[in-house]
Amino acid sequence: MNLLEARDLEKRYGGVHAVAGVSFSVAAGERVALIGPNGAGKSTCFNLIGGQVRPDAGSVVLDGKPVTGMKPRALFRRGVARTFQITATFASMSVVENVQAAIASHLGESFRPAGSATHAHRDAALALLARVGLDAQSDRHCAQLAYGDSKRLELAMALANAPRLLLMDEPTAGMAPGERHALMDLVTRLTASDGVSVLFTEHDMDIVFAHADRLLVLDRGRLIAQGAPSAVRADPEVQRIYLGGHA
Amino acid sequence: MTFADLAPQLVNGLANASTLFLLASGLSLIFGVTRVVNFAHGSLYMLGTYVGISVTEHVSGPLGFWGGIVVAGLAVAVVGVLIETLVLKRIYHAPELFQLLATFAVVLIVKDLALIVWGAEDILGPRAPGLKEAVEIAGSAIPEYDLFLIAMGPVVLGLLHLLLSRTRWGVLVRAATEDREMVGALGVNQAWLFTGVFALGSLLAGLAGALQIPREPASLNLDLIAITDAFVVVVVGGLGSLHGAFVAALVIGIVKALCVALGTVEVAGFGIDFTRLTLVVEFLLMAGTLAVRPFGLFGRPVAVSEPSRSVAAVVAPGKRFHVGFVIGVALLACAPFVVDEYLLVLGTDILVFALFAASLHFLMGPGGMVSFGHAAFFGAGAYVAALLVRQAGWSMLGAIVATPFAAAALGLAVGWFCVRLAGVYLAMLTLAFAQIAWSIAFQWDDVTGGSNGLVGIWPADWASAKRDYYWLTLAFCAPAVWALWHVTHAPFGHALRAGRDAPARAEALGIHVRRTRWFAFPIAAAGAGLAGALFVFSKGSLSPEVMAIARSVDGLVMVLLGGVQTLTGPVAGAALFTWLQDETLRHTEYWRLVLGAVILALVLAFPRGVVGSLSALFPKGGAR
Amino acid sequence: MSTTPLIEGRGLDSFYGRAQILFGVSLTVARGEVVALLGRNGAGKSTTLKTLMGLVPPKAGEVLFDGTRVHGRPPYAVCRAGLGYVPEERRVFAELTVEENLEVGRRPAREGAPHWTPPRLYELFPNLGRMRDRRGGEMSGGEQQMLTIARTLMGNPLAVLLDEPSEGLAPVIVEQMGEAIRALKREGLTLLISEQNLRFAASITDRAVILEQGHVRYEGAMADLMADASVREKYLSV
Repeated sequence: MNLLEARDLEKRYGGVHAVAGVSFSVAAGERVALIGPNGAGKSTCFNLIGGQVRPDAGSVVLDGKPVTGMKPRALFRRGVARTFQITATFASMSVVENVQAAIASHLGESFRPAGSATHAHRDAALALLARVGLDAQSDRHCAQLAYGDSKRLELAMALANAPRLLLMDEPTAGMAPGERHALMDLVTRLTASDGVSVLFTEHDMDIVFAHADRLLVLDRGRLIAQGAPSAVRADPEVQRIYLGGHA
Repeated sequence: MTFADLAPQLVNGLANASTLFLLASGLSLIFGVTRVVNFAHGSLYMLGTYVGISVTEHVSGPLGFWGGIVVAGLAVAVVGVLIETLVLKRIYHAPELFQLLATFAVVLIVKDLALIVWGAEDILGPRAPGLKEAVEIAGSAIPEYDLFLIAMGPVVLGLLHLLLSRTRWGVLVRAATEDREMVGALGVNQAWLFTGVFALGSLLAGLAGALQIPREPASLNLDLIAITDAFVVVVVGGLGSLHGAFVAALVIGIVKALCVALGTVEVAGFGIDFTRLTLVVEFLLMAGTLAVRPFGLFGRPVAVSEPSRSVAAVVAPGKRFHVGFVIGVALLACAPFVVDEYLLVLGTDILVFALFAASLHFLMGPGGMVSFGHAAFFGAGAYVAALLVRQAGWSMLGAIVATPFAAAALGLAVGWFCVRLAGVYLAMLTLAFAQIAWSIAFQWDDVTGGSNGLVGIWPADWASAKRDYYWLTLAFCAPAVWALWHVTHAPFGHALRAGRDAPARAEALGIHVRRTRWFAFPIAAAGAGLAGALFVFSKGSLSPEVMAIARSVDGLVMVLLGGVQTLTGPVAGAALFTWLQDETLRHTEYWRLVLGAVILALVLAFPRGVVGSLSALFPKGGAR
Repeated sequence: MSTTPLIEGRGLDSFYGRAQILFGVSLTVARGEVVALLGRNGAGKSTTLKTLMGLVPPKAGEVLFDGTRVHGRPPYAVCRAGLGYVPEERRVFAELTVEENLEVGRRPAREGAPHWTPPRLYELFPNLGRMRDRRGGEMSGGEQQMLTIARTLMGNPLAVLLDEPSEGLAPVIVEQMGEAIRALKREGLTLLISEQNLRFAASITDRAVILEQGHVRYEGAMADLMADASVREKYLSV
């Protein structure tokens, strides 16, 4: 059974049809990459799934239950986690406090006015940091982290609710080439063991081909191809949009 | 009610609308291009009135009057350019909050300079030569000068419109309001554009002030009155929209006139005195507008950057911090054995304001929400405590304990509206609520004593000695400040900070950002309310001044002086501010001038606040 | 004519916040040359142009315009030196009319550069001439793209940085855009054009620089690139 199903999603911004009837699914444990040229509607599509943007039409179904238009925080409670293209960690906190805040939220403790947030769930947070290889830097201030490390921190935070679906928007953007594969290897390791599905957008094709089970190709708000990486690569339509056939 | 009853008020309201528009359009232009919320704009207006009157005193006749208005406008424009080039130009890249603090300092300095030059007494201006009479329209006597002012509004709007649409400079100003970076990439040096806009905006403020001289005396409190009115007009009209400001000024002018004209009206068996609403009606209009249209009538959703998105490390207080706190409190508790009564009274004030500043910091720091109206909670606490003792016969202690709960309830109500907005708009809404609270206190004579306030609210006998009341204050303030710090570092405080640091990330992690921000309000309000209750018994009386804008501004200055990024900063800022105020007051009546100059020097030298900058100079190893 | 390149970047490192986007990017554009800056999404094309323009100051490296160092100078000064910039997101002034948008870009005539006036620009972009009083926000994407180019030309630049001129435009508009760019080339304007649309880029440029992950991976004549399927495959294809 599919974990995630998007059906006929549509979103307009003014006169621009950013997403024009997109349907796809993600199976449990599957890693799917959403690709396409600039302006193809990847980000909008991604935000429709993640709850940041409400679709004008269409539906999103998670594990057989409709979640269309649900807020990100509600999706989080249903096991959806995400990372952002521009790393968004809590800059005023230490590395481990970032993860502790995520765990506290998962346990519904965000409104607790008493007790030390610095002590609560510290061991669980350290364990998560160990999984992404950041345990040695747990007490550093997160502004001191190298860029690649803050990406790993985001990943640790995303795993705090033991997600079933992990959404990653351009996970390797801005990273040095060598770090990119290391990060995606880590993602694969962490998710495969628990059967977590991953949906990600990415423009580094090496990453896409090495780390996705299946590709979805968007162009001008429409899904123009999908399938195994090798099949998509051979698709003449896909070649055309990437190498410029419009002129 | 006939037209004859209404007409004089309506004319008066429309005449007010004209000067209001001049004032607000200047503020709006300056904000549109420079993105600086210029709190000193009201001071420029005040200067306009004083300069205008001075010129008419030296040069008689029409030349003195009309020449005075022109001279006032030009002189104020020069002052505006000085402020821009000497102060703001250096801090355009600093966080918005520090620009705000710098303009507060300018307000303080200008007020005392005006006091030095023109004295504390209100100065009446002359009537306009040639327009001294009244004309009869539909049976009502209408002052000619009012008609002149009514015409001025559309004339100035038309001239500004021509300037902005027909001149290259105007086109550049409009372009810069939309996209400053792109204007720069097209070869325009923004520095000159900014200075020019500041000159024009200041000119308009100066003219607005000078045009009012036949209608209202020059006085030293015009600055804050003018700035609040201008803020209201600009926010209702939409930041950066000239036409919006014009419409908003008209609407506010007319509605105020209607309130006066309506007088007391029976509604459903209750007599409602609408004249009392005049002080508050513009703020009700603003709150209503923002609730329906968060960007004002003609405003477009602009990215209002959050004023306080600090990325500085906040280190959780460790054992050493707690030990230090206990030792500090113990030392403070010993103070009565070594210092004299005078210092104890000052110490009591410092404790009260430390709590007030710490509670405001809770909103501004972890919450990332700047409040221009925090004195509302302080004042509400003071009134609630006083009334519980006076009207309900409670004991002092009972009243002090109950007050934070009442203030928290108020905070819950106010916060519900405020957290729907962000940035400058949120700040403006807090200001509106504070003004509403102030005018209730000012006008509800039967309960609050109106402008006279309440007197004889002294502590219970057992705490009436200065040293006993100092201890009592310490016994409440120290745990309250500690509690605020505790919440800041509890899961709630971290969730609040998470929502401030990265709102989208926090939402994706299941944190209900708006609700955490909402709940920050009652917590901060409780702290401010408690401070207010302790304040009222230490002074023995209270008046609406306790919740005036000036007090909210004091709170902001304390927090910003100490630094938003540290816990101890606001407490240090409150101590420094209160001590400086007291110290300068003992040596000179121009304490605002000294304070303003000190703040300005600090802002320009330490754009991170005093404690923030000091701790940056002496970094304490790694985070613990 | 000197042999100094008109535009030169040397070893540029640029960041957005803490994310490094450019890693030692070096490139040159000679006077009168039209160069394509190619690469996939996120390769650093826009950042390269912004760095040259002074909109993103580089953390390391140098930018020279006509032999003079311009890095560290504000964008308005770079513009006045003779370098024009057309942003990717078009960024027309939505509340200003076509004529007013052009007015914002107006600078005095410059020796050695074509002199542009609104009538000449309306000849180059006839669509704009028919809507002088229309507000920027009420124009279509293609019209906005033409307006941003025209607006930059009003500064009489020696060279123009053009960021993805074909992005999101209908094929017929892309064709018109190509026509206009060829006309600019005939005027002697120097152009550095970032593009994703290889075929379009090939139709208007002489030389190609390919970026991948913030590094320059290839430099050569456009004709050579079009003849070399392996390079295209490696850096541009899926």
